[in-house]
Amino acid sequence: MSLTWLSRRLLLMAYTMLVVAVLVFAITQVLPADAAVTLLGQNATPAALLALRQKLGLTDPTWLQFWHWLWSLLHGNFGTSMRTGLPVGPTMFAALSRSLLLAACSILLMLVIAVPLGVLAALRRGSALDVFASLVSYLGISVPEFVTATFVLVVLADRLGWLPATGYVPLSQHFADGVRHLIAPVLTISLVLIAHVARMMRSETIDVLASDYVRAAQLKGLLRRTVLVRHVLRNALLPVVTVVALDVGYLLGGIIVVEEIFAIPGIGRELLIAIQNRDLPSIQAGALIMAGTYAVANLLADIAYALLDPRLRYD
Amino acid sequence: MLLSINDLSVRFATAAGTADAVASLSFAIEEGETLAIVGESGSGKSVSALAIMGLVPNPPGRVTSGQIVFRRRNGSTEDLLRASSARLRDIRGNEIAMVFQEPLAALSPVFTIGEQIAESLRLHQRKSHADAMRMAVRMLGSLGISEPEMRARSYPHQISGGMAQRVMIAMAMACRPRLLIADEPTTALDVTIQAEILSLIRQMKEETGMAVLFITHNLGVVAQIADRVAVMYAGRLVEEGPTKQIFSSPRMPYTSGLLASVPRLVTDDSPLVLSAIPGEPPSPLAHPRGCAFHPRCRYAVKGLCDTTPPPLRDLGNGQAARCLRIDEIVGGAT
Repeated sequence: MSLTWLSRRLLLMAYTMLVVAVLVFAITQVLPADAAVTLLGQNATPAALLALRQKLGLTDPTWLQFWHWLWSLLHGNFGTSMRTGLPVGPTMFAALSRSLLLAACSILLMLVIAVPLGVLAALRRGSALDVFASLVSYLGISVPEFVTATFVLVVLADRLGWLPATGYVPLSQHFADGVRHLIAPVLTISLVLIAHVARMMRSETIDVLASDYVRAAQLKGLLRRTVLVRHVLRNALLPVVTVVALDVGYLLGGIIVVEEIFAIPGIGRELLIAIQNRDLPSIQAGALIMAGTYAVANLLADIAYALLDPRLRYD
Repeated sequence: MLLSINDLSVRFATAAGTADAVASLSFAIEEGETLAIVGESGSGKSVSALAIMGLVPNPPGRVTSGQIVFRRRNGSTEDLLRASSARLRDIRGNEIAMVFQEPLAALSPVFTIGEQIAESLRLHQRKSHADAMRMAVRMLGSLGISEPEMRARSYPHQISGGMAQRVMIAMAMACRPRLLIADEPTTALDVTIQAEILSLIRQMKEETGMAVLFITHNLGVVAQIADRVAVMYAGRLVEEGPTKQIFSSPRMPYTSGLLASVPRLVTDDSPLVLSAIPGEPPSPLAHPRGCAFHPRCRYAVKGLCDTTPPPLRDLGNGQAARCLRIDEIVGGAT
């Protein structure tokens, strides 16, 4: 992986973000929301509305508005929320950090469960474990997360009373309680991830096990364990990186639903509230940040892929 | 005797029924000898090699009978079919090594060539990583690979098929095995590279005194490399003997057919005659009754060849053949 590759990749990302910015701006332009009306209320006089519109720059030509908006974005200024009057950037990034914690825990849980499950299912094809893994996968893929979330809530929180139903406690405030609040949403999100990755892992492992190079590794007299870890796992994991990166896209969508159900003040919930309140700067910031997260996740996946697979070390 | 296989049978359970891939096969390899096993695809030659290495895929395959006795470096003998997995691991890659038909597929895409050669040195000779890598580089150099240091740091996708086969040989030769099993090692390569690989194997053999079990369907290759030839058909050994003898006076009609189907150079007074054996090799799911070759054999007699399985008959001169009409078809039928 060379520096040229990396810089080209970063340039491409910047370009992607510019396109996203144009789209986000265009979409919010056609939304039936008038910032002046939102701010002053329905009973404001036309003169007051016009004055405010001029002050906000809403009477400027669209391209100039876009330019002003982009210029402040580049300076880290996402605007001021029309709902709270607070700067949008810090609110959104704080929400993002909570969502990222949720996502990171889900991905971690997924890796811990899905990778061994897929490998074991491949090693014991047709066994009870394999059937169980398939069942989990089909469930995870076919059941939407709002159903899973409800199920998790009813069983773990309501019937068994093991977990708090909803809400969010920062880990820095009360660690144990914070963890307890994370369990249900993490379970919900990771089920889908586990489904994807376990299936992928199973089929990849089966392919790699049948390969000549695994046979060659066995023929060297290596321990079965060594063959599995060094040769099978290492090669079977490669496509999983791609699946995880693609799943970040799913995560961003799924997290909106899950955060809403479990009342977690993450970026998804923040975006939803912004839309409900026609809070244009928050909508724009939320959409941009989500797109940015996706772009970064893809970049990270590409880098991980290049590090893991020498065939992809683009020169 | 370095390796002797007695009454080996390997059976595959498939959805369509059981297939006798190898049926009571017996042969032996002397120290330092090159034995070529010849046969069409499906004749059981590769499965026999896998059985020696203890790697018959199970399921669906299973060794149902037999012994594979190997004499180890320290003089002790080991039945490879009954040895503990620890013993087998100690022998694999160390005393018996193998090269395959598709060298590029046999190299893991995520490790450098040097690392893959060094792997067995570190395992069997307990070399440090640095030592093993140095030895790998030397190995590559001795196999005629230019810039071995650079090559050792290459990944499999950066090299050609011919180079990959050299790397496979380096990998196999790393611990100086006493037996090299070469399963169609030149089939996937260009003709010019084929010759290079063959001479490389010969060179390694001279340097180390190892024996070679060479599995191929290419009789031209056999003539160049083998001391003895074993011909397999439908999972059975049908003829065996010293290479020269088999080439000059084959006694089993299948062997004759194989020899006749090798294209020869055309000269003015002898036009190219290329004869093919009629029909196709039998499905391992349903071997013909009697002599398995009888449906394709021009000498087959009704009421004899289609009912009685022929025994492998020792002809006294180091040659043995499996044919009921062996005395009637004298002097290498073609």
